[in-house]
Amino acid sequence: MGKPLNEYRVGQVVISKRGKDAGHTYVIVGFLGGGRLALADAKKFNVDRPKAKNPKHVRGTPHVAAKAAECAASQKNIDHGELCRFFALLKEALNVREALNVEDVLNDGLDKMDWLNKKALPDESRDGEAG
Amino acid sequence: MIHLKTKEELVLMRNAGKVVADILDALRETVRPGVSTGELDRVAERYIAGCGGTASFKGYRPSHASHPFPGTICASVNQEVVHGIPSDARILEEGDIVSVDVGVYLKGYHGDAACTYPVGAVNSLRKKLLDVTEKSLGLAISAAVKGNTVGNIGYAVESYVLSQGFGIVRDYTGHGVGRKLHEAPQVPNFGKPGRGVTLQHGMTLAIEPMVMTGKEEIKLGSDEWVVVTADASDAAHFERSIVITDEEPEILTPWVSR
Repeated sequence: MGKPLNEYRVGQVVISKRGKDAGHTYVIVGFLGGGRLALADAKKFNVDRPKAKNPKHVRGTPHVAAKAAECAASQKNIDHGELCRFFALLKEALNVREALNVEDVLNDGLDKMDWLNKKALPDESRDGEAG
Repeated sequence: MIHLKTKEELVLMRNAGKVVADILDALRETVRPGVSTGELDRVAERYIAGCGGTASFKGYRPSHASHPFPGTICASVNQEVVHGIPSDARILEEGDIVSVDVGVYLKGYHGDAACTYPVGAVNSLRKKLLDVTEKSLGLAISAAVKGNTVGNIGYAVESYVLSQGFGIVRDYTGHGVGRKLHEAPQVPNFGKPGRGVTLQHGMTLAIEPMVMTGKEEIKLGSDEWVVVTADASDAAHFERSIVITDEEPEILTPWVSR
């Protein structure tokens, strides 16, 4: 079974695990040369000026910002406003729930975020223990 | 991290690879007009169960996929390159080509291999596509010797396939194989000699050229698994698992050539 050259997908939510931004949440908005990810947080880094990050320095989450993924699938530009909306709602959910962990909020699901399609993406545990 | 296999591990990998090869050989006899890809899946499923193994692909969900692969085998017809989901509704027709990819997990190790079969008589372009793709696999394996690099393997595939007027899939690669289905290193079907990871004794690789007759563009199907050529040109896929030795590489999935 062929292995994708790049394990990540546009729209996937990732969390930095290395560097000054460790713990910061991003959405993948594309891929750059050298296998690096193009990341946006709708604040310092956006679709037009993304942060380049080594894939080994982020942790993928099982969640995708569905609107961004849809844009990628239909080869359209990712709308900056949609990314802003995603991060605004994420921030709001964190405040309302007084949660500290982004993944906890995403796992619970974000009410009213109709376009945040909560999907169980990776389950690498299957890898290596098939059956 | 690249895991170099011990002699004991290679015994287990040969066993898993032999099951894979036997299934592919059996499916070659099963492929004919009127047979569904779902039926091919059941043949493989029964065989794997009879050997005490499990299907490596069924339920496999890598990080890029939104849902697990539902089939025992991947069955990809004509313009489908890889990862076609088997279905009773997909009936093979005279003149089709079908890529069958089989993975078996047995006693802690995976075997992984694929062949593309003609369904009855195929046109000359499809015949050439199968010949070129299978030959590119042979060239890649010949380049997979200790001291060479994964770049040598990719170069062997790329240079031959392009010289024949066909294209290669660049977004999916071969890979290390062993305790996990997908291990390091990646083995692209393109590259430059001497570039990339150096091949060492005990390194086990799944080498899998994916070739198309048209443009080198692919897209993901609506089921989020099947990979198809963007221009609906035909594609073929051959794969063997091998181990790097001090001499020639040893084939761990010895399916019989067409």
